[in-house]
Amino acid sequence: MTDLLHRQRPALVLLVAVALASTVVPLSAVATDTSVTIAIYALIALSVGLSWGQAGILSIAQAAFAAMGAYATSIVTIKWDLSPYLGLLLAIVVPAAVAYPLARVVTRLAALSLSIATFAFGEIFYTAVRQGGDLTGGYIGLSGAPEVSIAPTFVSFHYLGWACVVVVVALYSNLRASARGRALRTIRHDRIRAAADGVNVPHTLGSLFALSAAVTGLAGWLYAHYITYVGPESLDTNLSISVLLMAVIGGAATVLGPVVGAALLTVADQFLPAEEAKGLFYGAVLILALLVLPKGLLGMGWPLRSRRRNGRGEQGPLAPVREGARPLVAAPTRKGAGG
Amino acid sequence: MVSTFVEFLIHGVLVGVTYGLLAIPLTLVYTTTDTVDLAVGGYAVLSGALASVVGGVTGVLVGLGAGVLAAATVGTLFVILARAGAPDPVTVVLATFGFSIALASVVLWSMGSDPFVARVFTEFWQVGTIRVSPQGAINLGLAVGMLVGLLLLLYRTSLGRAMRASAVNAVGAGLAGIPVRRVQFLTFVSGGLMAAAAGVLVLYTTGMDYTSVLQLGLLAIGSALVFGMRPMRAFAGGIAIGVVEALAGGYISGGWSAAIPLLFILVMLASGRLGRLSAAEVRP
Repeated sequence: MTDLLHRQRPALVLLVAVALASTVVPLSAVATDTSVTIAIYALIALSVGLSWGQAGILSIAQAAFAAMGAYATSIVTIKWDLSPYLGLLLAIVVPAAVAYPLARVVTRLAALSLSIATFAFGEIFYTAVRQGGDLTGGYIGLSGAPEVSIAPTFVSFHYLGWACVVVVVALYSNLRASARGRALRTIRHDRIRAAADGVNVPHTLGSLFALSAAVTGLAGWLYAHYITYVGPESLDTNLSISVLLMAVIGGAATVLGPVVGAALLTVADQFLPAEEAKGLFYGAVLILALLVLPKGLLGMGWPLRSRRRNGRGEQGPLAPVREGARPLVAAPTRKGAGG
Repeated sequence: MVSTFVEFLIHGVLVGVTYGLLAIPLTLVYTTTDTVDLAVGGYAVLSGALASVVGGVTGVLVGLGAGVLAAATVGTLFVILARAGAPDPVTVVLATFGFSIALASVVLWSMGSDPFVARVFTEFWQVGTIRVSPQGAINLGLAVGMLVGLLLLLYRTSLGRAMRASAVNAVGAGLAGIPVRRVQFLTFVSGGLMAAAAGVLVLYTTGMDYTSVLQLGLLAIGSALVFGMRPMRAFAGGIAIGVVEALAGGYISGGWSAAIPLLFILVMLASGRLGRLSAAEVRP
């Protein structure tokens, strides 16, 4: 029991924070709207935490997977008049089904090539959506996704969104404590060692990436039914970059870091003087975060750090991971100037 | 029919050399620092935009100067990160990426969202049935000149030797008396100069706007990655992407053509065959 409490501390902390916030948030429509936005971004940022923080897959396609989920549910509910709950299933399954083979291909690549490959994948997806004709609504997008019966009002959507975040956080904590979570940490540290330990590296990375795509797909489902519109620009590459920033600021390797980052940046967004300044602000914050808090706000140690236990069980999930095993572009032996 | 194809091909090569020119600084920085400066697109657009706003030769000089200053800022950032302890290459890449987002925002804020375009030549050269822009010839000439200059710098000067030494073994180079950090800083700055020059060429060739910062940066990194992280290969990669882009623009209708260069990059990266000869090093 104490084990469970210990493992699920992030989810419990989040639950308390959400409960406290829920005493004031529903009083203001603006705050409710912000809260739902934070919940949606937090889910996408959590997917960054999963893929990058746990397995070192720095994907710039996370918003594209969210868009995939949003389109999946919008198409079945608007075009085919089916239930939003079927949409939920598809919004989770379709991105995961696309992400798994993609991961099998790209996780063989070095870190930078991998990121560029996911970026290229995302842009190709957006092009496909724009060229999708009647099915995807082309440049105009799809509007009029129906309301979800369990969350008919904005306030109930706030609860629904944060319930999703808490569930994902709880599952995420479970994953980290499991054998598969330890396998992932080994992979991140040294793939050959992981393979020698009997871990099926490509499959493990593929499933993790599929899981992270499923989480963003869930965010896309929430987005589609909350905003009731999705277009090619709704969840674009800029958002992929923003959620990356959220994860970096909060601490990509920690469970709650991405959620904290999402909350901070979404609130800060509303105080920016002009839309043009957003890039300047984001860029400056990213550089500052990397200079001052390279492990993110929650990665610096307490208060959410899991205690190490006498040489057994978790070997400090937040312990710094040596990056030496992950070449940015190529193995050092192949380097050298000249053509 | 054949002449249209050749025209697309030539156009692609002439645009591609600017991508190649942007990709070379990436390989240079990678060679000496083990990381990549993704802000090259930012230097290019900053320099091109200033060259267009100020105008004339002064504009070009102001643009080049601004590009170099921006690169010096990134070089300083790198040195700070490096002094704080051996930096994770991905951290540096993210920092340069953040810098390039900030640069895009600065260009948008100070110079607006309208495209920057400039033309020197209105006449085209007619070679048989094929039309060639004189600007393209200038691009090609300047790019080849800079590439040759760079190779001479790397292999015929003591700075070049110091750069290569810092790349192969930074600690050893430091022990041998090479000021490794200064060499790395200079690499960022000279890369910035090349990127700024490429930016001016892009301004006179296809034009640009503030969104080109990310686009050019990613085309540059794509060019550097498709054949391998070395100056000559990156240059060839840039030309290949330029050609793919031109052919796609010519033969594939509307919206899909923009995705073809990206598809090319994705396929090149994903195909295991290239993994052996390029930066797309295959991992277990």
